[in-house]
Amino acid sequence: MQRYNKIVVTISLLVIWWMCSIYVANDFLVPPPDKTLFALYKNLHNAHFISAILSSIYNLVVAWAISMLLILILVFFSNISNTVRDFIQGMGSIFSPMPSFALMPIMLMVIGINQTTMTAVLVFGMFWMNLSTMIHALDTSKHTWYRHCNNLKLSLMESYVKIYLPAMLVDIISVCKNTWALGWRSLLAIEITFGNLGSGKGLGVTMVMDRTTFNSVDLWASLLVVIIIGSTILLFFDYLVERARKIVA
Amino acid sequence: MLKLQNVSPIIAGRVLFQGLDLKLDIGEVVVIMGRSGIGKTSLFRCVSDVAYPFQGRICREKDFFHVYQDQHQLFPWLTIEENFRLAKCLGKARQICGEWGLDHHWKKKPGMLSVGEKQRFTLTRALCRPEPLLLCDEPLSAVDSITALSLAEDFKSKAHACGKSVLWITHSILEARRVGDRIVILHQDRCCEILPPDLSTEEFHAKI
Repeated sequence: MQRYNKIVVTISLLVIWWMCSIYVANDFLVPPPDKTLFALYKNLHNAHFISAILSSIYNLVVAWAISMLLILILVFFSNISNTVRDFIQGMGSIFSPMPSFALMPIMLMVIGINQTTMTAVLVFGMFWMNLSTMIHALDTSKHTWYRHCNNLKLSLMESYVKIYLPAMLVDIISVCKNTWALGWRSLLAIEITFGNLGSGKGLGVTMVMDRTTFNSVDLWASLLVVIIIGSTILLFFDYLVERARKIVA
Repeated sequence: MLKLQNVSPIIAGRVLFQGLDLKLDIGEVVVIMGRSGIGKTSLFRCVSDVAYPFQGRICREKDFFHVYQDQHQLFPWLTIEENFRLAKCLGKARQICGEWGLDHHWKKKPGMLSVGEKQRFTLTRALCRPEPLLLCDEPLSAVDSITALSLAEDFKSKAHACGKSVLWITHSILEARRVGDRIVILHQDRCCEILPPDLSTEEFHAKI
């Protein structure tokens, strides 16, 4: 039913887009869907466009992997002692509400104009937003299963590896999903605002170039790619969450 | 195995029931009954948790195993076989499960089993564990009464065979009569009674 709804919404949006393009009757402002889809098809055969997409995805994957690794390390440390945990949660309450984008000027001054700056800003945003969720998930898992582990006299390692972590599988995947979604938005925002900091590649950079050259149809085609990639990855994570729910339930 | 002398849990400075004197022998199943809120589960906590406030004196074997009320005692992401392997009692469990006709479920996950089957596996795991003392807190409360009675009877014979000493909480008189060698009725305002299981249901009702 949910999938059916998504198809209905997609078709409705296409119809609205088409009607707008007919009403505005200006291909520069609102190019019609057929022209945009054709441009998208053409661009997908263009090596430069594909390399821009891959560059964006690569940057995001690197930042995402680093932030997930940091989250796991800090969750581990937060379980070692309450002092460490309080310190981490205190830091989280300060940094989590701060938009990572606000760090960009400082990062540019400290690290310089290169891709490390972008990675650092992305990691910062993804990391603090999801750290407390992961700590809370582990707490819930331990609260539910501790007495059973204790009853079976499982070792600490067995409890974590075989019980606590599998029990929080759904939460882990949800955090991965949220981290990715947040990173995708931040990445595009950084690329569009600052360019891809030296490399000259990236989907956001391509969109800026299309705007500069008044290539409106390609700009809309790039926007479609942003939506398609974002939605596809989220659908994939939703699928994983559902699978995990069936395993854990 | 387990010796309680004038034991009663204390909550907020209040003694929950008149002190209980009980000696649980090896291979004996003793059922604890009483009205809701009388302190049956609290009595278990006194036995299992040294920090829980109580009056009286408790002498027990160091090792005990809990069977809880909820039906999620088998880890749902592990197969039945993996659950038993984790509990380090796979070999013995195969034998008991074979006797209970459950040996075709080894590769299934708990979510694919009925509540009754899950409880059978939970009780089997308790019987196969090395701990000599079992604390069973309403383990059959989620099972229908007919299945519960049959399970209770099977459990009693297997507990005797395995030499387990069992404290068993229930609200069902029929279940108590099937599973118990002795039945303890807790009272708030008078001494706790220890009764044989062969009294009639009416007599039990009158006592409770």
